[in-house]
Amino acid sequence: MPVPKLGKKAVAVAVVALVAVVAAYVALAPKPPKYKNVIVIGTTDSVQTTLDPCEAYDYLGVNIIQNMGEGLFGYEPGTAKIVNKLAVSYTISPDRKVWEIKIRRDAKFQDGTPLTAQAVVWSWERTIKLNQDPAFLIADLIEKAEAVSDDTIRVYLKQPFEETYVKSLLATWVAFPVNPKTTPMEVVKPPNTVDMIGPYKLASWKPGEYIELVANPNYYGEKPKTERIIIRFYKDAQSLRLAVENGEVDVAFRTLSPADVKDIIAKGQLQVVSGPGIAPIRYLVFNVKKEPFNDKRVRQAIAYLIDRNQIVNTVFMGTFAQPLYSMVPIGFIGHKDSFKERYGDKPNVEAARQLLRQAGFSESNPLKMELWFTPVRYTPAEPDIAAIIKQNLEASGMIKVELKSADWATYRSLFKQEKIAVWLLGWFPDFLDSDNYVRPFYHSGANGWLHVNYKNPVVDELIDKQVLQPTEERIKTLAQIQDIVADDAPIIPLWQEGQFAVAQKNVKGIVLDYSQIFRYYLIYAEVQG
Amino acid sequence: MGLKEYVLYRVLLTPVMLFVLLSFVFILMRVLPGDPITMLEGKNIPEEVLARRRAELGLDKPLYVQYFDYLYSLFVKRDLGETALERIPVAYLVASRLPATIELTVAATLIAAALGIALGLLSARYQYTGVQYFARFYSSVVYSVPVFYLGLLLQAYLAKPLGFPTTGRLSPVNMVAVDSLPVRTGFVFIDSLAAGRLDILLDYLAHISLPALTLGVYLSGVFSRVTYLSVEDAMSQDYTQAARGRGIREWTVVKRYGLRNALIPILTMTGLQVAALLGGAVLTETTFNWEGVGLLVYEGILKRDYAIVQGAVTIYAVLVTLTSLVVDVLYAYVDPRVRYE
Repeated sequence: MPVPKLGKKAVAVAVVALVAVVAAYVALAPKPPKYKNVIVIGTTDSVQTTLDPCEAYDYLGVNIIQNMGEGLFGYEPGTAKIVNKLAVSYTISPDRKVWEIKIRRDAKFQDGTPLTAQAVVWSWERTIKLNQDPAFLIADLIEKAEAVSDDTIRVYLKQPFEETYVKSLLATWVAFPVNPKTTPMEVVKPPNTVDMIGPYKLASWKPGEYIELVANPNYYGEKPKTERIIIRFYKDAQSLRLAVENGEVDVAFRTLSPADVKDIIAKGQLQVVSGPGIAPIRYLVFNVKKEPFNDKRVRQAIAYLIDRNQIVNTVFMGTFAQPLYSMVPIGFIGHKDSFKERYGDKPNVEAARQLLRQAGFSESNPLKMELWFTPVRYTPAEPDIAAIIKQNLEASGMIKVELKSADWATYRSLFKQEKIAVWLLGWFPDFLDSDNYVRPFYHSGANGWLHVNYKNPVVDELIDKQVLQPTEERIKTLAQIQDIVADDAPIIPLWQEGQFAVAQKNVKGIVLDYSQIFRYYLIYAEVQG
Repeated sequence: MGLKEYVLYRVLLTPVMLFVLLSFVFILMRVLPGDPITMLEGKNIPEEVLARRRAELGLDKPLYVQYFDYLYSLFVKRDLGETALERIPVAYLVASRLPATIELTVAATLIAAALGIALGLLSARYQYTGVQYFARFYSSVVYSVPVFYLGLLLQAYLAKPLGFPTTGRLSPVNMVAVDSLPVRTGFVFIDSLAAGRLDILLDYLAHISLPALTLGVYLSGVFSRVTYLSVEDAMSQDYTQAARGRGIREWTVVKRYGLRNALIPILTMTGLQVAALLGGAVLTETTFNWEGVGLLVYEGILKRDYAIVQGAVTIYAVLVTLTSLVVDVLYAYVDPRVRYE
């Protein structure tokens, strides 16, 4: 049957209209954003031991565990606030020695086994029993723990510790619950890990080459936007920079040199995300037994001469670090700028010269010293930093500095055997509490590893006291400690390092905060189409 | 000395050489300050935990006991031990890294042979011209430049403009992918081909180009010299003159008489270069983050991980001594004069 002319037109109009509508819909309809299903993170760090929370004790190993597991407490991303994670609520006994903690009922291990109070207690007992490197973090805290019911744990503390101190220790990876059904009673061997409760689980691990994580389908919380994370190890900053510039990695995190980052910013092809510098701190140590550094006046003179601002502004471009005037970093409970109050924030050459003169030095009889640094372990800019300090000290006209360096193993044995007197070091906290910035350095019962030989009974007593005090009093005690050690100056705090990540421009969700946890589960990369 | 005696003598000498080398490495590692546990120090890990870790590794025993333990475990138990901190079997690490080193050395040898033989032939053909002078200059320069420096030069001047990757064997995503391919020999070339993954193969070829070129160029100088000298020698022989007299074209003479005679010394030299090749591979691997045994040794030294260094050097030493044994024996078979020296 012939189609009427009008009908043909109508059909044509209808078809065109339909196509237009569909096209408009396709063009205008909100599209769900698309994400890459794999993010590659490049690093020069390596996993030094295992991925078993009872043994791991290096930055990267711990950080990977923090993406595969969770504790009763944790840190809110972007803040320093300790929040409940697997814990729902807790009560503390009046004598502060017994905690009763209720835990979530919806949390499951990777294999689907529900979390119970018994599992938490078992995990802690395992850690304490195996007594690996970081075990003391909870072994020194917990006297005994028991499961009151499936979702309630009773913890008996060794001493009536302060509340945030306890929570920050229970937030460490060492206290993460592991699955008693599948976890062996010994430390797991690489390339393996144990079953925890976290956003990711281990998919594969080729030692020295890469680690692959995939989203954990049984995680109770929000699913990560990126299904797979590949952590690729690079030998040095140079290789890492080439890899991120060539687009082989999406994010380069730890550690490019500040100069490289400056270059990268100038080129503008990649983004540089920075975060507050707080936990990793850098400092100068004296062996206070060694002459002439056994003389407090010499140490004080050096404290007067060091120009922290010059280091921070020239080496770190004023962005990736800030001057530090106490071993307790800014932002931590009780922090006080004691060194600034005592020595000022600019070099005071006259004051230094006076002290040096009193100590028996002069222009014609200058203090000759070696300043040691290690070029690989910390920032690649270490030689520049040492050179600035040398310049600062020599500005007095009464000090002659010889710079010396050695690889970490040699360096370590040099200060351990007390063959050197002045050297640069860095510190990553074990847990985020001021105690971890005073005890390991100044308490004579805990600072043996440092070979500083500093012993002050008053300081020892104050350090022991502060962890047991209520917060207000604790702050006062911490201030007192910082003032005393600023005057004694066995260690000179220098700067706290900022964190930065270099990423491709489409990468979002990098959060660098006080907790120092690099959260892979927040990172994603948007893709076209 | 007859062939049999010569072979027997070389076979008996090999374990002695190995033994001396391994003892040397053992002592060298212990002379360096620090031990594997040093990596854990600098944290406030309780001293008793560190002491226990040392005891687990046997580091608390006297040095001579450690030495005999090492020899016992190597020769009697045939066990290379475990890494100090991660406790990964060293044999597994070396086995997983060896294919990368072999790939690199094979590719480099091919490049070195191609470049070197071509240059050697050209300079024999065009004696006393600019070509020969260039070839001689090139040979001495490339062999005297440190290989890592050559690598850095290539990275700086070739990689960026041409877009070649400069780190690793594969891009990270493919690195993970290749480990889950159905065929896993550890050789990316074979595994990716067997799985029909041309994308991985191309990625691999892009990655191997610069490290192979670095090591290849470094070694091509020797190839060029050996080729030139052998060809030149053959070219002055009567049979070559006779060929020329018959009116055969010069290039044909060079290739037919010169090159054929040069092949035996070239092959021998290739064998003898194994040690240099592997030594060069350590530096090239370190420069290009190429995950072979060389990089493993480098990392092991920095970490003072005795087991890694000793294990990897053992494998290296076995490879080098066995190859030179085979070459020596073959050479003695071909050229009886060697045996009497």
